[in-house]
Order: sequence, then structure tokens, then C-alpha cells
Amino acid sequence: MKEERVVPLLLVLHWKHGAGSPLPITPVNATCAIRHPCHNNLMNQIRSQLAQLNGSANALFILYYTAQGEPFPNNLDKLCGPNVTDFPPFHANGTEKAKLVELYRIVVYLGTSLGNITRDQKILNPSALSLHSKLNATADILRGLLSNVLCRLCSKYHVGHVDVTYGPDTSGKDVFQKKKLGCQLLGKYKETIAVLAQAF
Amino acid sequence: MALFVVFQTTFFLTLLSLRTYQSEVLAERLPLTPVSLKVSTNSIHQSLHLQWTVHNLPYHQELKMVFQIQISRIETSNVVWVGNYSTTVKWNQVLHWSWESELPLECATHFVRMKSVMDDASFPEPNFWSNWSSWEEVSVQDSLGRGILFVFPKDKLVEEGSNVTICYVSRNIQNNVSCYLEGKQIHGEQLDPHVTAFNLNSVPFIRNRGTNIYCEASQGNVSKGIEGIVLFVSKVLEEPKDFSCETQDFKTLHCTWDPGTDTALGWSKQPSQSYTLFESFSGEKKLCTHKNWCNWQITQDSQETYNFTLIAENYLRKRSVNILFNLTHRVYLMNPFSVNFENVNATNAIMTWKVHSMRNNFTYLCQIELHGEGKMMQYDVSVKVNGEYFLSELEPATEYMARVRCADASHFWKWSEWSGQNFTTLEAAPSEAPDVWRSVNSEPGNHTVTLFWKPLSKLHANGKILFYNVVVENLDKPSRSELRSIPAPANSTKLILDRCSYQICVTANNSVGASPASIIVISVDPENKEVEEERIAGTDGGFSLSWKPQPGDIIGYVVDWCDHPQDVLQWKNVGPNTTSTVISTDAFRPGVRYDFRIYGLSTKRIACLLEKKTGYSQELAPSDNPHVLVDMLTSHSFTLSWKDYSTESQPGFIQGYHVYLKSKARQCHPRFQKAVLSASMLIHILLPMVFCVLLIMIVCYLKSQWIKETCYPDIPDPYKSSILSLIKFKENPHLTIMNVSDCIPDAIEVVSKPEGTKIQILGTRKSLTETELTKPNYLYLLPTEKNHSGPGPCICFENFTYNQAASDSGFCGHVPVSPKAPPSMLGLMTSPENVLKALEKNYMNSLGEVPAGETSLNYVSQLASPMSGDKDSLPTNPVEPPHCSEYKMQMAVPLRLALPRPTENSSLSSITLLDPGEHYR
Repeated sequence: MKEERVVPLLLVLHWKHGAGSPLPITPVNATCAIRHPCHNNLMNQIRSQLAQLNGSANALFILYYTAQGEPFPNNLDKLCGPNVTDFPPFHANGTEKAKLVELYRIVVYLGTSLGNITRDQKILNPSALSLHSKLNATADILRGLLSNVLCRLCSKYHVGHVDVTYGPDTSGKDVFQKKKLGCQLLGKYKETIAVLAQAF
Repeated sequence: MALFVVFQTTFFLTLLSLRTYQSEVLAERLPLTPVSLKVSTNSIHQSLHLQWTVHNLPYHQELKMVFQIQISRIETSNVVWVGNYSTTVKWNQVLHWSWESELPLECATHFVRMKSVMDDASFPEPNFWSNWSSWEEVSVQDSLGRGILFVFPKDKLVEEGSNVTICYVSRNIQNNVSCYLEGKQIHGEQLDPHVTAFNLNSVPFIRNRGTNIYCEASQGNVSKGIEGIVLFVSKVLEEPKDFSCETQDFKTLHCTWDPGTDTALGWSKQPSQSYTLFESFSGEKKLCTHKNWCNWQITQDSQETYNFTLIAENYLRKRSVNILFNLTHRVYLMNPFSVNFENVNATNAIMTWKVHSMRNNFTYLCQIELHGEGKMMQYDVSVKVNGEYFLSELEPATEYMARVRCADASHFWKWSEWSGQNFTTLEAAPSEAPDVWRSVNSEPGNHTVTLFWKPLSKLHANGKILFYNVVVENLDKPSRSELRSIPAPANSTKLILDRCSYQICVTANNSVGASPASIIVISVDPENKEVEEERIAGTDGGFSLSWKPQPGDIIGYVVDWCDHPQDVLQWKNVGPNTTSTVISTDAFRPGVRYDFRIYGLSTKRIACLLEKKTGYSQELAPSDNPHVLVDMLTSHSFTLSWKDYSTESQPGFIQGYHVYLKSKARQCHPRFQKAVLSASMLIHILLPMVFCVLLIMIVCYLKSQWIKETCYPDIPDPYKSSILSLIKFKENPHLTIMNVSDCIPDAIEVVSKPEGTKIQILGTRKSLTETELTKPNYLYLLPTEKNHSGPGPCICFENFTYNQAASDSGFCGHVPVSPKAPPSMLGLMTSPENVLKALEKNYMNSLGEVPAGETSLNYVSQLASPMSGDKDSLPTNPVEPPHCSEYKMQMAVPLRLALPRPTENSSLSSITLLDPGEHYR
């Protein structure tokens, strides 16, 4: 019973900078258990959070590629195209349950990737405070969104376990590759979040 | 003996044979060929790492050997580096050696081989090189993984100004690859169909986040991908500047330096340079935690000399500076303490302080700064531990700030910080007599003497002035004297003295004592001398006064005057040899008359009035018009009377009055008279009746019908009247007669009009000064046509000085201006002649042309004007004939007719005779 309760907590804790490997947690036979009751207007909150993310995604993308210097701002299609491997799929015409499960996977993926990007940028661009601030704010909203999605999955669909994948670990990459992967991820994020905001 | 010889011979032969054997054995083994050569790569450092062994080495034997190494690139024949490596080799030892490649190893296959030779002194020549080892091939291209384009080196750290080689590997030779540095394309050298290298010479520092270098592969216009690297270029580490060490307590050495540029780079590629202190005598080393200072603990009391090396270091370079010094020569004292002042009096004080003791028998050099009264004095003094300095020649009752700093007197290194304290000297008696002057008002039987004095300056007061003593001594009766004490800050007192001579002594007193006395003597009849008053002209800067030197013993002159409006007596003392001065003060106001009196001071301290002068710093036009009264009004004359301006109210010298007279009736010819009247003069304006009658008869004879229609119509038609009378001009200092139209007035309207800005004297225009128009003040003697606002006759009274041309034409002359008139015409019409011409041109007078702010006499005709009471229906068509014809007559009386100056209440009057032949409507 205790193990089941810590699942969401571990998921959130796992979003530390540098995370990148799959979580060896959540027993297969885990059932859904929530520490606190979910809000009545959970879906509204989810929609609101998606809209909030969608509203700031482009600004974050611009801040990022500007801070990387040339050739990034002038070669967005080549360097920042949404060519992200293993990015969880999303089907807008699915059921709410299926969409929520896919949303959960995407948010987990984005959360870990943003953690990597934030870590890298704090080292590479220590003076780009507005970028850091935007990255942190986005990560905060993603955490809240993840919690709400999980709450919804648990409370309505009794889904206590979702297999997830995480963003690529960039720690071993060279600096240019880190910049490029971050840019691609944020380009993908901008594209995906627009679809998600529309789908809910 | 023979046995010994045989033994010796045998020994040498044996030794020789052993040596020969050993040489043969080694010769058989040589050359010692390097074997088991293995080459690995280090991509981060772009280096090849070699390891090998040497076979055939004698067991447990060390030999000094030289290895020659060859490195080829791409193919074995392309040798890029050859070099020797010397080392001592042991039996079974694995040897290591590294070589850093300027070309990234990923971009080319490298080949390595080596040979060796023994270089040991224990083995004589000849030594032979071994055979080359076989080539070892090193290639990392195969491990690059998937991808079509790779750029190297990754994240390389270099120093600004160094040369860097970068390269790319393109998997597909069909791709066209272009490379860029900060957006600028760079061009390289193709090493093989897949690899191109770029030599970047003297790379610049651009930013600490690194420089992006990227390559783009494309086929035609289709991009196949962009790959890049970040090159981290570090600033060159500078040598620390201004490195020095000092002590304040012989326990700690405080070392400081200027670190110069920070060479830290982003991505933690390089942290800020580190600093290390190394002292060579003690052999101790300390890593400094701050980038520009470091403390070094003095542990050995016996160590007097220190040899410090400061080492700055980053990943790329190491720089150091060195200082050698004696500890006692680097003493930076702590600032003195316990600063006090003793025996402070009016002019002296003793300053004391203490110095932090360093070592026995230390002598300190101390510097004292004394600040006070805007001045600074500096003194140096040598002390032991307790410092003391006598401060003299101080000003009484003055606050001073004294501060002290010290240094080692034996070996001056630097001053300590300042320690200071404020103190105030005591008061002393005032050092100078107050500057005293008086005004005397003589009345029957006594004098009212008002004494004035100026407060003493701080320099002379020597403290706070508490009161002034005034001692009045009757010189005719020496036994009688009177003392008055007037508390400060009063600066005057009034004395009523009888008609005796008095000596008055004034002293200023503070808490310590009295000042020297200022003496002034009031004679029996102090202001008895009649002195002519002279007019002077002031300037913005003040008044320039001069006077005739006085014979006899004069100890000085005094010029006094009153400030207005405060009416405070001011005076200025002038030396005995000076007969001119300039009185300048900000208190002078324009339009205010100032009276200056110049006195000579005799040796007996009696003031004698020498000259009077009066003037304005700037004259202004009168702000008020005179109050004009009209009486004795008859059909052909009237009398004007007015009061002269009071002297106080004159903003300038009144030089005369102008009387303007013009018809109010619009139908009549323009008639306008201006009489320039001298002040206080009774003026009678008479017009020879006969002349007017004759004139009218002649005109009537010539155009009787026209005259009838014009002047005597059944219903007066103002548009048809255009009589133009001649201007009569008569000048008489006592009697001025103005020739006016033959109208019988039943009302005279006095309209106030301020004077303009230009003067017209006897027909000559002269601009003087601008003045503002004042609000018009209309005085209606009779209630007729009170609201009339159209053009009309007027009498203007002018201050002759500030008369303006406009009063002749624009105001009283009333220039009719056609809307179609060109600007040049407007300008021309400002002269009287043009005015008249303009009047003849039948231009319409519109309401807008009515001059505001005039003082004029408007004659209201007994005959009803068709326009009267219907002014709103005045025609506005400019082509219509004028409503009124006017004429103007100027009568100017020369100024300065030696007339008596008008008294304040004197009344002025003017009698104007109206020509009965002129009709005003």
C-alpha cells in the first residue's frame, strides 16, 4: 500500500536535472491510490494549464535559440526542427482516457527533457536569466499538469500505472549537440503543446 | 718478483678477455629494437598515446636510450612529425609517450613507428640505430557512428591568439559542405575526399560562452544537415600587477594585487584563474581564496626578509611575479586613536593622540591637518607612542577639524588612515570697530540722529556679539555723557540731541569684551549746507558717482543712499584720495529714484555734506496718467488742469506733458492736435478765430454745395464728410493754442492713455524704451456716448521721455488701415505724414481699429450723429468712405525751459480753444 502511494511522488522527484533513464519504479500490479482528493474541476485545470503552456511555448523557444548564438536563430528548420526520437505519440481523436494516458507520457518526457535543458543552460549561459526563469516556470506548470492528469486517471479511470519514456540524456554530448538537442526538443514542445491544448 | 709480474700479466689478460667478451655479447644483441608498440588515442586532448617495450635488455640493467619516432598522416609516406625521445630503460619496462596532434585525430588516419639507439656512457662508441618498428595505424573514423557530417574538435579550449585546426568528415562525397565561424564562411584544405581541415590563425576571444563553428552539408539547394562545435577561446592570462605585501601588526602580512582579466569560461570549461603565494625562504605555499588578496601568517619572529612569488594559473598558462622585502619596511600603521584637545583657548590648543605600538623603539612620523574657516594647514611631527602638537594662531570662536595619520619614520611605506576630531576655540573681544553712519533730521531746537551700524564680520566679531554700547558725549559740556546698550542684532538706534556738538562712540561687545570704538561727531548744525542736486544716469550695474575733491583735512568720504522700498539707509566708505566710486547692489530696482549724498569726513570726525545726486538705475514710463480736470469750457476754449507726479511715484524723470486733441465726430475732417507742454505750466490753447472763419468761407465759397451736404446735411451723413483741416502749430512756453474744428462741444471725454514706447520731440522720432500699456481709464465729463467705442478725438498726456510714435498715429492719430493695404504701407503709416495721407484715402475705420488704453478728450457734438447709438450697424465694407476725418496738430514746447521744478502738489492746466468753425459730431 505504501509503495503505491509514493508512485506520484517519485515521478515528480525524478524530474531532477540530469534525469534521463527510465524509472525502475511503479510495480506492475500497482493500483491507484491518491493521497489527496482530486478537484472537481480537474479537467478545467488541465485545460487551463495546457493553455498556459501553449501561450508561453513560443516565447521560450525564441529565448532559447537566441541564447545559443549563430547559427541557431537563422537555421531553425535545420537545427531546431522537431526531430525528436522516442517522443511519445498523441492521438487527438482517442477517448479521454487514452488521451490522458498519452498526455501523461508526453508530460513526463517533456519534464525530464526540460530538466536537462535547464541544467545545461545554467552552465553554458549563466547570465541568461530570463531563459532560466522561463524554463523553471514551464517545468513548474508541467509538474502541476502531471499531478492533475494522474489524479484524473486515478479518480475516474483507476489507472495507477503508465509506462513512460524519458528524454535523451545529454550529459555525455558535446556542447553543440546539447544546444541542438535542446532546441529540437523545445521546437517539438512548442508544436506538441499546441495540439494538446486544442485536443482537450 | 717474477711471480708478481706473471700474476699481474695474467690479471690484465683476463680482464682484457672479459672486456672483449662483453663487447662481443652486447654487439651481438644490438640494436635493441623497440617492440610491442601500441598506439591509442585521447580525443579530448587530441593526442596519440604510445607504449612499447625494449627487448634484449640485460637483466637488472639500466641503459640510457634514444627513441626516434615517426608519425605519418593519411598514408605512411606522409610523415608529419619526427622526433627523439630520450629515457633510461630498465629490463622489461613498458615505455609511454604522448604526442598531441594539431589536426583532430578523428579526421585522419595516423601511422606511428619508431627505432632506438643506446646512448649510454658506459658503452663506448660505436652505437647503431635499430631497425624501424613496423607502422602502427590509428584510425577513429570508424567509431564515429551514424551521421552524414561530423565536425571536430569538440569543445576545444584554446587561448586567444593561438592557431587552431578544425576539420569535418563527410560521409557522402556527393554533399557540398560549407563551414562558418560566427556566420562568416571559412575555407579549408581538403585532406581526402571525405575530410577537409581548416586552419584558424590567431583565434579571437568573442565571448566566454564559446564560439559556434558549424558546417552545413547540402546537395544543390537541399540541406542535408548542420553540425558544429563550440570552440572555447580563453583570454590570455595576465601577469598580476601591483603585487605588494604589508603588515599592520607583525603577525599577518596582507598581500594584494590587481588580477587583471578574469579568464573564466562558460560550460565550466575553465574556472577563474587561481592564485598561489609561495615564500622561498620558508618554502611555504598558500592557495589564495580571493582573486586579489591573500593573508600570510607570520610565524617566525626571526624572519625579517621575505621573498614572495605570486603564481596565477589557469588551464592554459601560468604567470608569476616576485617581490623581496624586509618586513620592517612594509609597515602600514593602524590609524591613531584617542585624539583629544587640551588647553583650548581663543587662539591656541594642544592636540594629543596615541599610536598603536608596533615594536620597541619605533619612531613614528605623524601628519596633522587642521581644517577651519575654509582653509587647511598641515604639520608634520615625529612621535614615539603618545603624540602631541601645539596648534597656534587659531581664530577665536571658530570650529576646527583636526585629524592625524602616522607612518613608520625609519622606513616610510605608507600613511595610516586618518583619525580626527572637531574642537572650537574660545571667544575673544571683537577686533575691529563697527562701521557706523548716521542720518540727521534737524528740527527746531534739536536733532534727531539715527545711528546705523553694520554687523561685524565673523573674522572681527571673534564670537557672538551680544550688544552694542553707544556713548553720547556732549562736546560743549564734556562732563555730560550718556551710555546706551542696545542688544544685538539691532543695527540702529535713534538719538534726540539738542543743538550742541556731540561725539558718539559705538562699540560692539561679546562675552569677552568690547571692540575698538567707532567715533562720529554731530556738529551743531550738521545739515546746514544747501547743495545742488545733480541728476545722474544709472545702469543695470549700479551708479557711477564722482565728486570734487575737498580741500583741507579729509580722512575719507561717505556716500549714503536709501534702499527702496525698505527705506534702509545704506552707506559706503571711500578713502580720502578717492573722488569717485561705483555703487552697485542687487537692491536697485528699475523705476525707483535713488538719492545719493556724498559727505566728507574731517579729522574731527565731522561729516560735511558735499554733493547730492539723484537718478534711476533704469527709468520707466509713468504707470499712471495724470488726473485731468476740464473746466472753463466755452464754445471755443477750455482749461485742462492736473497735478504733477510726486517725486516718489515717478518711475523716471518727468520731462513734460503732451496734450492731444482730436475730434470725436466721424464726419468731420481729421483734426488732431498734440501739445507738448512743459511741467507746471499753464497752457492756453487759442485758435485765431478769424483764420478759421476765413478758411471755412473760402472752402465754402469753392464748394458750397459740397460743404452744405457735408457739414450741414439735413440728416448728417458721416460717410460723405472729408474735411481736412490744416494743422496749425503754435509754440509758446506759456500759451499753447490748438486749432480745432469749428464744432461747439457740449461734452468733453477724457480718455486715459498710457504713453507708448517711442518719443517724438518736435517732430523728430526717437525710440527710448518699451513700456507696457496700462488699462485704459475713461473719464466722461458728460454722460453722452459713454459707450462709444469708435474712433474719436482725444487728448493724450505724455511723459515726454516715453512718448511713442504710436501715440501719434496708432493711438491718438488713429490710423485707418485698409484690409488690402500691403504691409509696407502699414509701416509707412506710422509717421504723421503717412497718417494724414492715409486719412485722405477714405479708408474705412472699423471697430477693430479703435485703440485701447488712450487718454483722450472726446468731443460729442450737439448735432446728432447718424451713427450714434447705432455703432453695431457700422459698415464693414472696406471700400466704404471713412466715418471720420481727423486732423492732428502738434504743439510742442521745448523741454528744459528752466522752469521751476514742479512741486509735488503743483497743478498743471491747459486751456484749449475750440474752433467754432469745426463741427464735431
